Amino acid sequence: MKNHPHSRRGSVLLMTMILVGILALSIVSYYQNLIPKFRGGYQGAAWHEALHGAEAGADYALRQLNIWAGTTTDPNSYPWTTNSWSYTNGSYTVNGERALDSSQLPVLGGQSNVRVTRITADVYARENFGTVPTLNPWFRIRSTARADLPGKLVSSDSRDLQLRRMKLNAKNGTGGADPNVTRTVEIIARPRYTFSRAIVTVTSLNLGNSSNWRVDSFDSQDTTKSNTGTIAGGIYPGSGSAKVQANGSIASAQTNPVSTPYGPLISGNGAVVLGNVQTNGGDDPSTTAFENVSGSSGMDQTRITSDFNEDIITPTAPSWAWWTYQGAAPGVYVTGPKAAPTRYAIAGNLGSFNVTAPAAGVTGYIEIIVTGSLSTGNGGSAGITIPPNVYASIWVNGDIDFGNGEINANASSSRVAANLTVYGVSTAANASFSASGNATQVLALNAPNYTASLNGTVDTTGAFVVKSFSISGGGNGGFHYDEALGKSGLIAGWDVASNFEDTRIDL
Amino acid sequence: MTAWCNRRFQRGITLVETMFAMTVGVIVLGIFTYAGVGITRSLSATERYIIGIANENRLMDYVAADLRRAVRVSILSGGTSTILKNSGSTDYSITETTILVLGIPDYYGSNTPDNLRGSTFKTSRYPRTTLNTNATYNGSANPLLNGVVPWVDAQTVVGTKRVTRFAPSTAGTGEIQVRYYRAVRSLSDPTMCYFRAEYPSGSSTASSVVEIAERIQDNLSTTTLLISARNNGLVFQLQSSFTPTYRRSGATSAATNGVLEVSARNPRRD
Repeated sequence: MKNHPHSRRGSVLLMTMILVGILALSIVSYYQNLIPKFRGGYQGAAWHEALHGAEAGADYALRQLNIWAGTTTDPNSYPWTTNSWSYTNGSYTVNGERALDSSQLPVLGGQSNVRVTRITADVYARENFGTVPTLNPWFRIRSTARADLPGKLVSSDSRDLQLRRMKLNAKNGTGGADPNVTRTVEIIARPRYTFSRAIVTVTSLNLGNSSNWRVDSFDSQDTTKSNTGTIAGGIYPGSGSAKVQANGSIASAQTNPVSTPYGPLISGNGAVVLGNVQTNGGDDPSTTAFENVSGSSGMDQTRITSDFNEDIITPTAPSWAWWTYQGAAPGVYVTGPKAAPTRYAIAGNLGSFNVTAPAAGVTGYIEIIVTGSLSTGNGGSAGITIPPNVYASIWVNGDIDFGNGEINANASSSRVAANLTVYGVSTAANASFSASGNATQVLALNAPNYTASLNGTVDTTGAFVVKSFSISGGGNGGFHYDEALGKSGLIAGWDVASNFEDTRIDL
Repeated sequence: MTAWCNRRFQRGITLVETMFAMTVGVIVLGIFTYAGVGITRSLSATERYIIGIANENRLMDYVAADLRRAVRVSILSGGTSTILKNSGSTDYSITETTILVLGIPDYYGSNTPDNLRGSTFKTSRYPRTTLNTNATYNGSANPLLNGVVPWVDAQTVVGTKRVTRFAPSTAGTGEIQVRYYRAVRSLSDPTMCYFRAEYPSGSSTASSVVEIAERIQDNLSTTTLLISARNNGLVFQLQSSFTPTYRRSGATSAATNGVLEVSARNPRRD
């Protein structure tokens, strides 16, 4: 009989334990349901990190191409092999696919152990247009990267699995669990030619302050976008012509101080610019105004951006093993065939000169190195004559002054910018390019270390890459970009023509 | 003594004791029930909150992945299409009638879903093995022009820039259209969801429609998706907000606000 009270107390304990057990099971069930949802956040973060890895791999390959562009002019002779790239199929070695050795693949690390697992590059297409196609390659770069995932085979939502395509059940080489997520990015890299814009400056860019002064474009190789000129190509059709194009883009690589990042980097001075206007930063993203450009009333506001970020490579004079002539500036300049152009090594300064045209139907080539300055002086006879069937390249180690002369612009000249390329190779701090008065110049100028100053109603056709650019006055002059310059020539680097994340690739 | 004891232990409880015990019991049960309901509501709310956050993230991740590769971006509202480049202070909220429309490259060999390994649905139009061996790409006398995509099919000109043309010049625009919008799941299921629909080039019939977020608007919460653009359509801001409504009064709690900045990787074609 004494056991009865004890028995009743025992049932209370049992009930309590059952209640606690039910509560505990509820909590366990809850957390089992909830924790995967929390884990979804981690998985999402790893998915993002994998994209960073894939893009880093693509950037690595693109950077490699840009380095080679600065050292080798021929894109078909880039040093792939010595940089740990090898063909994935030895039977296809002309345009075939190369893969970067696994020992060279970038490792980003971090909590998710992000790393690039594969980078390949092949020739996607070759430039095949114009009368003499360059057949320069467009490279296709594919980069895959992975990030580790938490070690449980669960995901919060099937929709997440569909988007993120996680490999939750993956095994490593030893059979151990290796859950991970991968992402693959494919970019097509196209050549960026030195003269892909009207004016590119390393530092300041100040446009003409005349309301008539303008930057526009035309295409000397397209009869619908130019007026009849010479056998070399068409000429600028005039500012009122319907043939005038709106691709006279300008860009400045100058940056603002870190302490004051927003402010003008290009002074438009009200000049008309029919083209893109790009700076390297300077625009406050929190405002709708374009702080990066002042005096922009003559510009299309929708074409102003702050995303210019390209390497500008300073040219150097070629090193010749032989030459046609060496000494002070001669009186006659002749040409040779493309495979063997005439080579003039001018000791000292060079003034106005005329190149003798080869026979009709023959295209002549001439290369000139000037150890001093190139100064054509002023007056009626000042200038440079490049006949329509001649291509001239000039490397100048001193200042360049075209006075008020006609540079490749008189009646005997080609009047096409591609026929006269001038390289400023001086490394002096005050190297300069100048022209004045009513000078007319038709050329492509690559002088990233030269301060370009125009004064008066100078009219320029072609393209400039200079340290800085400014024009005082402007009058009825202008700058007319020849779009043909942007389609061939020396490769200054590689641009991304397209970027596509391959979200359907088999895992 | 034993008899007295037995009688004492066998004695019944009084009405007062019964009432007291019942009162205490009811109070205890009430407390347990109240706590249980509260805990259940709290747990449910927490779960909904996490689902809401996951919805937010998934929504923005889906749109961001497509924006990165987009070549056209516009808002379709009431039959009017507005190119999205510089939206200023306007944020477009994606709804049943305000639809985000993206043009992305027509990159794959096929856009008809096919989960078979190596299917054309999963591979580029121009995989390296095809370029290496297919006669279409290997008929040139110049070896440099073999094993590559023909120039006319490889590129197109946008402004002065030549950019990649992903589909052959004979295959339409070279783009497919992706639409993001809000709608009920089906005629029989009024659950409000966000969807991603893919339309092949030149087609008004979706080749795939994927539900990317569910329960985005009910009596417990609201999830929204907003988009704005700047820098001439090179930079987009996505915002997704989750607003819980857990109070008995129906008042909303403070909303979460996920923000994602996306940089378009391709030149715009619009």
